[in-house]
Amino acid sequence: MPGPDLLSSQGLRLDGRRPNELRRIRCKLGVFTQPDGSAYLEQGNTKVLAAVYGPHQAAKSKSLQDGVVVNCQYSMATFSTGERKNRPRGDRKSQEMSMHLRQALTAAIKTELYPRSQIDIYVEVLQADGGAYCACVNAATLALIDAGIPLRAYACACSASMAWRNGEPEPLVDVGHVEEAAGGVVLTVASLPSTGSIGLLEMSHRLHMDYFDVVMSRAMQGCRDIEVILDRAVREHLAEGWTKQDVITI
Amino acid sequence: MVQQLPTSNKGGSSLLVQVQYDQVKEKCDLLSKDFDTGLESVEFCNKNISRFNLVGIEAILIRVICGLVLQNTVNYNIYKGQTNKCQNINVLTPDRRRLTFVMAGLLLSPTEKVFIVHGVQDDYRSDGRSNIDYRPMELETDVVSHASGSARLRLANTDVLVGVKTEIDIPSPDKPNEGKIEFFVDCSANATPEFEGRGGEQLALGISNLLQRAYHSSQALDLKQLCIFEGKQCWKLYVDILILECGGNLCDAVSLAVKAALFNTRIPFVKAALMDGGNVDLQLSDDPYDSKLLNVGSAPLLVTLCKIGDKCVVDPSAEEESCSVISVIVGITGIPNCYCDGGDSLEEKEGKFTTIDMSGPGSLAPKTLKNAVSQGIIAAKLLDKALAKALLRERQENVTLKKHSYGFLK
Repeated sequence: MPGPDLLSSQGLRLDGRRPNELRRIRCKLGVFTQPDGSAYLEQGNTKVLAAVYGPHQAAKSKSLQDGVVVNCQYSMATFSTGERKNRPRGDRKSQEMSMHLRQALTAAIKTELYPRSQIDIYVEVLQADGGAYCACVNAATLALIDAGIPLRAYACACSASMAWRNGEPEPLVDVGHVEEAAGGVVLTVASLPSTGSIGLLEMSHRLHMDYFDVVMSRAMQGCRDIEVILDRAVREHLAEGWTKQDVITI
Repeated sequence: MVQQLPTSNKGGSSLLVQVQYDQVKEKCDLLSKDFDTGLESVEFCNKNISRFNLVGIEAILIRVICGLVLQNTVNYNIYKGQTNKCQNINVLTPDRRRLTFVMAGLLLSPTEKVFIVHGVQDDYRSDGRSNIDYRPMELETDVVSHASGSARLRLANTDVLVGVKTEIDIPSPDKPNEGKIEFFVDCSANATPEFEGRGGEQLALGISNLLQRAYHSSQALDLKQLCIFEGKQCWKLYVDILILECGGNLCDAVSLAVKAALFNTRIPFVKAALMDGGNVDLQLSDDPYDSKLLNVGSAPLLVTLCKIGDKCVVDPSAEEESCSVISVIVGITGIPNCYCDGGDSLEEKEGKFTTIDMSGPGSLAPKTLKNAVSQGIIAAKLLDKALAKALLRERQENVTLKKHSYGFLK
């Protein structure tokens, strides 16, 4: 296990955080005027934009009788990574990400309210520094709230990894790019923290079953922490008064 | 401002209309008489637009009312991309749900068109600008830390993010002492759902080809400064343009953002030495700040001239765009003197064309084209000066005090 070097002897991580510390999250709702809802979220150096269109009438082929069609697209700007990407979307990784996004967000949206309709959620990663998926889920939640789409709860995503310190396992919350690249386990959880349910769980690399619970609970704690931050952002945004979309100027 | 008009009580089916124009109110009252519905209120959020389009409102209200009658859940959202003609209509249904309708096209009455055309004729447009004035824009450089240079520009509702990445490449055999530059435009689906998947590819290709042509000339951007070792190694600049919101006048915004990003680009110093066997040995400095800036003063700006009547305007608003059938896009080289400190006193070089392009279904008389082009030169000169001033100030701020980066959080 490549654990030991992820934590210093003082118990600090490679970027100076403590094991249970999130990266700084800064976010803003209503960045754009044209989409029905939009949000920008920074999680450390990972920067993500999300836009929501809809609900609108669904295309005939997609239309569902009993619920809304959630359509997600994940794309990464060509300059978002260290090495230049050739295609912003359409590759396997982004398609997988789009599916995972849909999975997590459908769990949060009250889909039964809008039969025969469609909600488009587009996320654009401007800068990727680890945990792009988590940032995307969090940004998309804010954009959905900005669009006024009824949600069951906040959908928050957080990742967790594990390191060893003095022979004791120590889970790390909100994994950055350096820690991801170090090759340890990365457990990504998208959950609805206020209901305690899990919308999506994904794990890469191997992890002993004995340690699964600690890593998992650390990730869930991260989700709860993120929910508090998102909730505050939403409240602040609403306290500002009318959003760009709601301003009535005749 | 919203005016509260008295509620007309017609036995439960009241239609409270909050609009300024009596005409619209009349129309809505009429509609509510025809259909026995329970709309609580209809309000019109009108952005950037001075008039309502009655036909459109009528069509939408009929849809709403029909929808309410026919089925319980109504959600129409009529949108159209590439416009800043964003007219929202919010309708509050009896069960307190708020429906938002975004009106698609913008229809102007003939009188309004005449008003705009006359304004352009007299060089005084409906928002007070002259024919060569741009709307206010926001520019910030150095927003993406993974890129060598970056800029974000917001012009009215158009939002563009440009990142420049550098790579080492082999120069092409016919130009051994020149570097390479490549443009890639990505229309994000954030701008409009039409761009989802491969939907924006055509527009993207059009813009990137236009930029490639505009930068093709050596007088536009001197690619010799990208040479590392003649015939063996050179720098390749990838200029990646991300279109985040389309609110018209895309070409101008993109070219401005590209120039700003190139101005912001830092290229590391590299020492090259020829080894045996014709291989080149590259030595990179350990200090990441050991880098050079590009000389981009002469980089071209694209100016879109929209023909209205016999005259042309730059940076048309949505209303003006609907009065025009054709626009000319000219690429004009910048003024290098403006981009060095204290260079104002030096003699200014005239801008040169690097590209001309036309878009739109109409046609143009040669004389109008000539006027348009000369007007484009003047507009580009003013624009370039303003850009240089802003960029130099930003660089100064970066040097003197630690600049606070806003990004999208502003």
